[in-house]
Amino acid sequence: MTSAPTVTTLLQDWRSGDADALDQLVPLIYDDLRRIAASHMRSERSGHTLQATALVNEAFTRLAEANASFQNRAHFFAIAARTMRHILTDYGRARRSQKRGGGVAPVALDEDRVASPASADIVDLDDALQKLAKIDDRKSDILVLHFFGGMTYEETAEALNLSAATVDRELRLAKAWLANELEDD
Amino acid sequence: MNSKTIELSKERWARVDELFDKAQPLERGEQAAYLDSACADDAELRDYLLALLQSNPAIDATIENTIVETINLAFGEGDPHADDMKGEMIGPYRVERLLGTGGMGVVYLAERADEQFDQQVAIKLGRHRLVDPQTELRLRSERQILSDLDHPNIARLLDGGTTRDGVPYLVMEYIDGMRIDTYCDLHRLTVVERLRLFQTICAAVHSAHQNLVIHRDIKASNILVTADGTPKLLDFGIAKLTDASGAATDGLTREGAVIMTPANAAPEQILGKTITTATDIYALGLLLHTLLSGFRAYETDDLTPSEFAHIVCQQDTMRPSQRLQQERLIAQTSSDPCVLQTLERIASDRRSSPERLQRRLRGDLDTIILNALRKEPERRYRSVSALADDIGLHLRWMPINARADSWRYRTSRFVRRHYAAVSASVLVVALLATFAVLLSMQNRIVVKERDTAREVSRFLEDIFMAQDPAQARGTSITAEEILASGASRIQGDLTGRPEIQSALMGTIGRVYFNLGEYEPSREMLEQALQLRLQTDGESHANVAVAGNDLAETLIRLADYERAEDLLDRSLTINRQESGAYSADVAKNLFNLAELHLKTGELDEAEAFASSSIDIYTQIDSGYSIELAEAKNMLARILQVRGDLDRTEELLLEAIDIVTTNEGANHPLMAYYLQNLGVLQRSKGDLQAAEDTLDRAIEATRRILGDKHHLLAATLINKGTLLHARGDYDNAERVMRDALSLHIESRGAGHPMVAYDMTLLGMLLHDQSELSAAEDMLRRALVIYGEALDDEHQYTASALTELGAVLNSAGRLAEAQTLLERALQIREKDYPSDHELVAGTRTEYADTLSRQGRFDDAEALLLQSIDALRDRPGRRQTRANEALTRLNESAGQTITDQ
Repeated sequence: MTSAPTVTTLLQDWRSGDADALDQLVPLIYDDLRRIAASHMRSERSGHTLQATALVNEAFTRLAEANASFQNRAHFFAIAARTMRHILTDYGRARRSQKRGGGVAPVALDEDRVASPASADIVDLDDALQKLAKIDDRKSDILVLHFFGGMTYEETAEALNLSAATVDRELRLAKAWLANELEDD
Repeated sequence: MNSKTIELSKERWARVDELFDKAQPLERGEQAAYLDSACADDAELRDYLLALLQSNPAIDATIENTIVETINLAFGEGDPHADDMKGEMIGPYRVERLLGTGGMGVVYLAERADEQFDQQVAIKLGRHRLVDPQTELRLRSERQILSDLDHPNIARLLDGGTTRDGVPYLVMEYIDGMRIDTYCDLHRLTVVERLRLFQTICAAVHSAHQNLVIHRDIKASNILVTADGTPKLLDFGIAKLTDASGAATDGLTREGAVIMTPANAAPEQILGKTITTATDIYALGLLLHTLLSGFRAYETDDLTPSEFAHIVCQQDTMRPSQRLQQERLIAQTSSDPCVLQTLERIASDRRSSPERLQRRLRGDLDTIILNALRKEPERRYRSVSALADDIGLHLRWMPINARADSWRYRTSRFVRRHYAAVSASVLVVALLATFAVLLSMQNRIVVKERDTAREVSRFLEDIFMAQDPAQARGTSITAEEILASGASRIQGDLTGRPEIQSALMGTIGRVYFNLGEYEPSREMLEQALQLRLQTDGESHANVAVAGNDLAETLIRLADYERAEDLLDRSLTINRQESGAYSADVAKNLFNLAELHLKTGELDEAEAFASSSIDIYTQIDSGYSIELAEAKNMLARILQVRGDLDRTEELLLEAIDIVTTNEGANHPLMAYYLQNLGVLQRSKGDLQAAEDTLDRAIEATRRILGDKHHLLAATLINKGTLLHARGDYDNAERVMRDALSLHIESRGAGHPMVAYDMTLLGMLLHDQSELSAAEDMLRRALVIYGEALDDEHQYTASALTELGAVLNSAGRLAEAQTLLERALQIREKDYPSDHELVAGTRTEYADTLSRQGRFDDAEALLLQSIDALRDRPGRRQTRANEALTRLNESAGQTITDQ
């Protein structure tokens, strides 16, 4: 009888490059994330704070507590951030696909987006991050951790084994690059 | 390509990085000047860097909004863009609105655009274009499977296809319904109604299984109930073709594990093992748990995934009734009123109270649910139909097939606890009064039946009732043959007339009951109940009567769990149909008191008996046989509790009521006199006891005949009384009569036979007939060994006496072994100052004393004598004698020295 793959081992597998591990991980945390998100949305319906931060922090603080063997808490948040990106982007792609699939003209959709300058499309965001990763993997990752994980510079630094000053510096350009990409796209 | 973005190689990007860092801290004008010089060779790079430096400073807010918005869409309460699809075409269908999102995709309400059919449909649209071959495979197979499934309780697949853009979709029957749990609560369905609804779902799942389809994600949100009450199972979205062995096709399993809803995951899903039809059975178990108890089998809200996995895969599942009990306890002790409110709302949604709901679930329903929720798939119900069958049996009040895991364990524990609570003399009373007859209740039932049954019925009944000793008083009992032939005639001649059949079967069952023939009684009453359920329906007063009668027989057969279940149901019906202050309710309460006395739950027993007395006192002006019986019941309970004065009072009241009402020939007289005699003996009033027992023996012979087992029990009590008074010869004669009568009426292997033998062994010992005593006690131990568990207190009694006999015979090594074992059994159930422990300890000390271990022996004997100080009798005498013997031997030893 094989024992259940724990969240910790799945996290470790995934971090060490086993893409399949993420597929197993997502359903394990999905409900948790969803529940936290739902409650968060209710309490701060009109807020513009980064709910994803609380969402991911809460879910993964618990994971950290339950899995003492996973020693670096920052790694948890990093993984949480990446996981959130994964989940949200999947959703966004599916939405986009279904609209196109249903025969909705993509142009109309994009016009809607443009008319709403306060936010971008999650898929565009993901595309931009992927594009950045091709030339500067580290900056792309820092962005993911910063936005999807709501991590502080210190946490990001710890997770990526950098100094906080480096993270600060890199993030300036990364954000500028992202803003430039999304404005133009 | 937009002018603001440029081709960026890693090398070029490294340059951007470097220059951006240097330029960024500068003022706007300085930045341009700096870049002009730094990028003199690359104007494109200069422009690009300027664009970066001037990019939207509000990017943080933009990204945050993007993420929050997506979370809202993905996890939130609805899709603000859902209307985007309104009016769009998917194949020939026009979308009306979004119905929901799920693991597999998005579901829309739509209707055919050509309006050929005025039909609304649900369209399930995949999340992805078919770039993912697994999804393609999955959707295609789902379509294949679903189109083959044709069941009134499964949402039908009507159509399917691929959009122009390559996204697959399925068109399904649109079910305008409510989630099953919401539906049940909103309509306040009772437990029975919920079970019936659940059975329908089982039938649908079973049908799917027969088509080799496993649902894999059965849960409340996947079952909708339409306005007319029809449940429909939705979303065979992750169903897989199963191979002939019932195991999911390999290769699709892992992917299935990803899609499952974690909160509903079965252990095998969490462990990534093969998914079979047993996985659906598990999910059905979870559903049933929630539908009935209002609580989920596992509270997952505050758990991490690993904790959750541990609980689902490792931890024992709590019985639903136990869960409710726990919640009730929490509600009682908690300062938070919400706990109690929740509990009361759950109960009220089931037209019950928290307490009644708990009792309702206890037993069968606990067992059924836990059977479906076993960790090991192969230990669950072997099919959904087996699960449904058990629910059907339960609804027809028949014994279910599933067994609780620890049933034997709990039963043996429970028997032990029961006997441990009762001292030996009281036990005899308890065993005897077990057979007490509820005569006028019987009469009343017969009257009722005469009102409803026809001529045939009346004729046959008269024949049978003449054989009932309670009716044909003073005549000998030879009814068995007539009963047996009568029973077969009912089944043969009266086929097609169920109401008469059930009336007669009920009557015969009661007669058998009165004769102490409990197995045939059970058989008859079981059939009577089934027929009543068929003819009268679930909650008719007749059903309550039949259930109550069967419960009485089952109590005699020690099937307490089922008996309690029947009584609870009967009580519920009677309270509704007859009112809280009715004879029917009082009778249910009476039987519940009996049952709890047997299980040793004396608080409950006393409460039920007292309630029963209250009702009978009010409705019959205090002079009914039922009231006498209820008083006798309370007397038995109080006797166990040690309130002997109140016990005697109650028994005298009961005897008075019977005499006033029925005269001296009523069978109950025999029982009450017997009980009174035993009570008087234990109060130390030996003369009064002997007189009473003589009256009891006379009444028993006259009313019940010379072969009735009650006579044997009365005789053995008389025998022990004579023994205590030193009249050994008469004691032996009476005891041997009792023994042969018990063997005759109960069979040679019955524990009562061994009980008589043990008492005879003591007498023979006191008569110094050591080898006869040894023989008798060894025979008793053989019977106990067969009939009881090894740790039973009866066994300890026989071992103790055998040890004492061997002491007297000087066989000290043998004696010591037996007595050590006996002491061990005693101490397991009793505190060290209990008289039974003291009695055994005395004999053990005597062994030591005879071995010359005077100090050890003396300490033990003094302990025993102290414990028996206020308890005159054989044990006390033997302890004192042993001490005297010790002192003499010790003195002798000192003198010798």
